[in-house]
Amino acid sequence: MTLDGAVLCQVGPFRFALAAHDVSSIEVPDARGVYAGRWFGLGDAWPQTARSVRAPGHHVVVDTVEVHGATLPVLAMPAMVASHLVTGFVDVQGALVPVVSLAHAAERRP
Amino acid sequence: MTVEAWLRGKTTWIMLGALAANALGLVLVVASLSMVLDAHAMALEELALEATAAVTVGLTALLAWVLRHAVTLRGLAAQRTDADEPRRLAALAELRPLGTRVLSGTLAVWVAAPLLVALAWWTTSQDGGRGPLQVALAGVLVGPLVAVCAALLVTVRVHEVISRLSVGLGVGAVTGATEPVVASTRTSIVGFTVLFVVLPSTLLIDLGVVSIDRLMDQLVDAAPAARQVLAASGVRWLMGQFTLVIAALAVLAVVTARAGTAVLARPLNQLTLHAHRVAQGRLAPQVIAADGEVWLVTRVFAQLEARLTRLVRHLGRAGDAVSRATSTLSDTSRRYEGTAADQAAAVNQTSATTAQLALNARQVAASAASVQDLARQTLEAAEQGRADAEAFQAAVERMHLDNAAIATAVDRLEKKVLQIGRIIELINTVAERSDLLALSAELEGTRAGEVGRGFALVGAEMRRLAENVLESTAEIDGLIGEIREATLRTSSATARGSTLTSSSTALAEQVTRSLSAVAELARQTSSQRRAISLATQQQESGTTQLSDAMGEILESTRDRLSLTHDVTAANQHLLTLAARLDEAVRRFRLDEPA
Repeated sequence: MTLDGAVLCQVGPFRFALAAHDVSSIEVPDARGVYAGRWFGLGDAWPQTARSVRAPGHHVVVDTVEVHGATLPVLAMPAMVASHLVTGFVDVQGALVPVVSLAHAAERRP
Repeated sequence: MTVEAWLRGKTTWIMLGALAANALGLVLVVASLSMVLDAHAMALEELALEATAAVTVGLTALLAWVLRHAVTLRGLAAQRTDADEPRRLAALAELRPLGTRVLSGTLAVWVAAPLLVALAWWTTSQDGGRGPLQVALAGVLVGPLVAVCAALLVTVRVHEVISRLSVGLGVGAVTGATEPVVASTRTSIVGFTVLFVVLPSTLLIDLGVVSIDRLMDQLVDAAPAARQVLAASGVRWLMGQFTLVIAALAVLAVVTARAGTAVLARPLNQLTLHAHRVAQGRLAPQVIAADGEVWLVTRVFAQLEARLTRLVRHLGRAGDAVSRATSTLSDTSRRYEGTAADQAAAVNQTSATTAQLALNARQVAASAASVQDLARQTLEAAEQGRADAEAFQAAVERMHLDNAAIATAVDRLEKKVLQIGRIIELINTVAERSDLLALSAELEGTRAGEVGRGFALVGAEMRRLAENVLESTAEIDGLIGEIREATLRTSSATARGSTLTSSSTALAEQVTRSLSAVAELARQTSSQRRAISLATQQQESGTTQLSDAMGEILESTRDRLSLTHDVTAANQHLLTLAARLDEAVRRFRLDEPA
């Protein structure tokens, strides 16, 4: 399984990847945005340079956004722990980054 | 007993003697007339009644007349008024002529009453014989005796009342209020003797002649056999009547003589006792009432005693004053003696101080010259300092102007920096939007797959460019911050510099004024130095004269000290004399009048 294009998001020290075809736009966040740092226990305040990553019907605010255009192999999740939220891991410059489904992530808010 | 209490009812008491004398005279007249009148001519009882009525009416009129002139005395005797000093003096003035009035009034009564009886008898009887003449003659002969006796008896009591009333009053006031009776003692005694020799003798001779003549007529008219019996009884009757008349005359004479003696002797006795008390040193001035020369003596004695009393009082007060003054003088002399000794010591000290003052004056003169040099140097230094201060002030003012220019430039710089900051902010916004746009383009290129790869690469490149712009604007923003901080520090420094230059300007002006004042003082010091020099020379001269004068004062002070010793000794002697004077005055005792 591969991922054709990924949007790498960074929240604090943590990183995650979104499938590029799931992201509709990248904008400046507004007051209604949900900070992804909440997933990692970082609170609700985002930095001034934050970006809002939008999918149809969903959006999330992250510290920085980086578009990765190459096709990346996806390491599948074992069946016993597989979920719709994290679909696998990709290797970005030697580091494993979880691939997150934004629609499921928005449904399972902390 | 108070004077008021003693005076109660004394008006009647005074006049009792007059009434008694008149009663005695009435007895004498009736007895006399019974010897000479014919029993058939007029009833003796009727005659006695008429004579008594006439005398009583006359005496009543006399009493009313006398008391009419003694209103104040009657008021005091009846306790109707207070016995204050004016009323007592008025009573004294009323008492004085009382004896004379009784004398003249009684005499008038005793002349008028028999004459009226005789006139009535003569007009009512066709053959009265010698009766009316005998009645008139009896009144004329007896009246003076009764009047003198009554007047003397009243005078004795008047004297006593005067003595009582004059207690506590001033001698001058009493003697002024009581008129002196001018009749001399010799005239009174001669008159008394004449009255009581001539008048009784005349009365007795007349009684004898008339009664014997009447007895002889009775014997001639009587039968010869009864003549012897009639003669014997007639002689016995005449002898009895003569005895009665002589006894009445004797009583009248004795009473009158006792009263006259009392009028003369009692004041003399009182005067003797008073003089004895004065001789013992007991002074209590009192007027002793009397008449004639005795009154003059008692009045003079009272005045003399009053003067002596005042003199003793004055002497006592003067002695006390002399004692106090001498004591004070003695104390003052002792203090003055001590002061003079202290003064001599002080003069010695002052003389030494004067010599030291002359030495100091010379030193001051020498110091004045050095002060002149110092003042000149000070003046030069002050002038130089003032020029430097003025130059400093000019430099500070220039610095102040430069500082103001710097502040203006800094202000302009700050405004420019603010404009740059706004431009950088705009660039930053544009770069951010470019970054976001490049990111979106890269995303779209990626989503387009292989077809959009080139578009994604262009977006990525644009994005790096935008990130470079952002980094550069961040650096520029940091530089602008530093510039603004430096500008603020410069602005603050220029503000402080402006304040300092203002303070420096004020200080420079103050220094200039101070140096000007120092220069002026230095000039004044120079001129005053000359004045000091002149004054010092005068002081030196004056100090020398002062030193000479102090020597003379010292000599004078020693002389005064010696004199003070003499004054102290004299004061001691005076003190002894004052004590002796006081002892002499104390021999007199000033008693209150009894």
